[in-house]
Amino acid sequence: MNYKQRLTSLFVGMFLLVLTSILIFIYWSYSDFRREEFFERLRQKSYTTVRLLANVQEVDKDLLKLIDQNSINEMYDEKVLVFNEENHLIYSSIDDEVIPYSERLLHQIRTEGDEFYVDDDGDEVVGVHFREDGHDYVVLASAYDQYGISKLKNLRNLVIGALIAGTILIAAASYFYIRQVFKPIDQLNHSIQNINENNLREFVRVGPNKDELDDLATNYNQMLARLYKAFELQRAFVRNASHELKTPLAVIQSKLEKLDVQGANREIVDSLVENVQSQAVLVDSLLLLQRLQTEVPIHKNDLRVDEVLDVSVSEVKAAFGDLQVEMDFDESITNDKQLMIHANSMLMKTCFKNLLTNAALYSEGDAVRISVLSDEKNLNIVFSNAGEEELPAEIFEPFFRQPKSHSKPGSGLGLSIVSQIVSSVSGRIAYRFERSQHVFDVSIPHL
Amino acid sequence: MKKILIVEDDDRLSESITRHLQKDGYIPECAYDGQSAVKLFASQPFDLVVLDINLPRKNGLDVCGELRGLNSQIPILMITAFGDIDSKMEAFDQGADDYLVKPFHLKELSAKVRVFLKRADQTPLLLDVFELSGLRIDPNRKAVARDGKEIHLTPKEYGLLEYLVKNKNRVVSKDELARNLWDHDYGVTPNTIEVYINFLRNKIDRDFSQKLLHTKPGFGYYISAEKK
Repeated sequence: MNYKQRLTSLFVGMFLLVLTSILIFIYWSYSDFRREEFFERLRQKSYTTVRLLANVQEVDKDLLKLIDQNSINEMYDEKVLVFNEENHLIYSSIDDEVIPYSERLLHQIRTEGDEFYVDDDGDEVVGVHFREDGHDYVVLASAYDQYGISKLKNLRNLVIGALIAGTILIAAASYFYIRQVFKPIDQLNHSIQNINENNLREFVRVGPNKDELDDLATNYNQMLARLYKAFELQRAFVRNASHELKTPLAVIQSKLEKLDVQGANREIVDSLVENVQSQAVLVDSLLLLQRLQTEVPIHKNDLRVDEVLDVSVSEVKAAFGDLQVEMDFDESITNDKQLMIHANSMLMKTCFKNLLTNAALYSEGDAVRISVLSDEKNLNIVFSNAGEEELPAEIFEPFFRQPKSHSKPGSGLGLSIVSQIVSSVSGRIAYRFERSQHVFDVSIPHL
Repeated sequence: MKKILIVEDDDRLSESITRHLQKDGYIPECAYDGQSAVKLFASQPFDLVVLDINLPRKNGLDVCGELRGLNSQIPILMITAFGDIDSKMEAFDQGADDYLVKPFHLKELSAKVRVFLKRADQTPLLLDVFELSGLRIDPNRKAVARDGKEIHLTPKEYGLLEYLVKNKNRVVSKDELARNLWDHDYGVTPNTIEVYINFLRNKIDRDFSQKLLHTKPGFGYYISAEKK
């Protein structure tokens, strides 16, 4: 559940609580009022009946019944019972209606005063103690408050309806309101999401309102600027260091090339040029390694591995003419998507070239086989070439060199650069020695 | 005589380059920082620019962008001190045509200068466009389209298709493809060729009812628009 949904449900919950209590209070008050009013009417009725019976001598029971039945505001299921001092029933208004009563109830009315209660079939009953002019009567009057009850039912339906409709309305309203409130935050979030290591210079848009959100955007931009500056410093270091280290090499080399010497001295000059070149390679390698080890992001795009491999092979072959490369695509590759990786093309080229150069320099024989296989997630590029014995595990450490390879060119940085590059694209490199073959297995997630 | 603008802050290197290019028969002009380079470039016409990336006052990359703005045609050759991945990318983004990494052979520099000046001189020969039943192959742009819909092919896939189309209606064996499309002693296994043919088929044939690329089992592949 996101924040917006949480806020909406909190809001709806609170509203529901308040609205429910208000509506319950209204309903309860009304139902109380109705009951009291109805009891009052029943009591009036009782008094009227018993007065007619006791005081007006001309009215006998039959006439009273007649009056009762024809009274204008007759209540539904109305019935009146009158008891004398001995608790004998002296008058009953309608014969087929029953009011359940007991001696105890009558006694209670006499001693404790008027009683109100609801009987089993929902009729409301009033018990009145009437003492006047030497009469001591107890009257039980009962009726069903059809109008009041139906009004109450109506009110109940209204309350429930109002509750449901109100909840729905408030849920919709608060959802829209909260969405409106969050709109600028979402926009800010969206523009922050769009910023990655490749477009650090694109700041998020700051609105004109100078409100809290604009402050947030401004602060975010300032943080971005600091980050960018730190990255720039790192990049500038590599840039300046390589400029300062390599310009003298370029000067030396251009001067050496202009030396017009023959014979034995020519060899010295040629080997000097070679030394300058390998010094330059070392500088490049060291700076590249430094660059890879810093957290400065690297520009990446989607590339086809086979294209990078082709370029790497032809560039390495330009330097090592004897190298025999065999390229084998496994049957597992059926779709060109499987050959697509997200990486920096120059780095991948460096990685493949280093592996191929290693094969060219140190392999027994000049053949190297590149097998390309793929499974659901990863693309494996396997370089294998003939060798005599297994290499130690330290080959991926910087400056590690095999004792017997010291006579050959190289700085011992190649494989450590390879492993850094591979891990920079969330890949893995593994070395194994099988069937007299050195096998370097580069595994990179494909698209 | 061709005029070349050399922008390099190290005067020793600048001098070497100048002398070397003079010997090759060009007229070099030197600038030692970014600002004066742009000024010099604006004041007179040049045929080519050799530009170092690390320059005082104005970064070589910015200079490159500005020169490009002044002249969209002129070849710009960058000199970078580093095999640094970021700057090379930026150099191409700013419109550089090629780069040399320090230290470079002066011969390599003159070779590149020669190639660029020659390329600037001649308008390239227009090659014929191949058409085969809605499939259009333009060797000038290395572009392929079928029924007007552009199809993106990698160089290798393009080479394969072009070879097959040039030899249309003839069965070409995997061996022949390997010999003609890959360097000698750059071996490819038969399965590699199958994989490429498969890619090619996915790209040019899959979405169309009429198939152009056919397999003759045991012999090889051929392209044909004729119904079998």
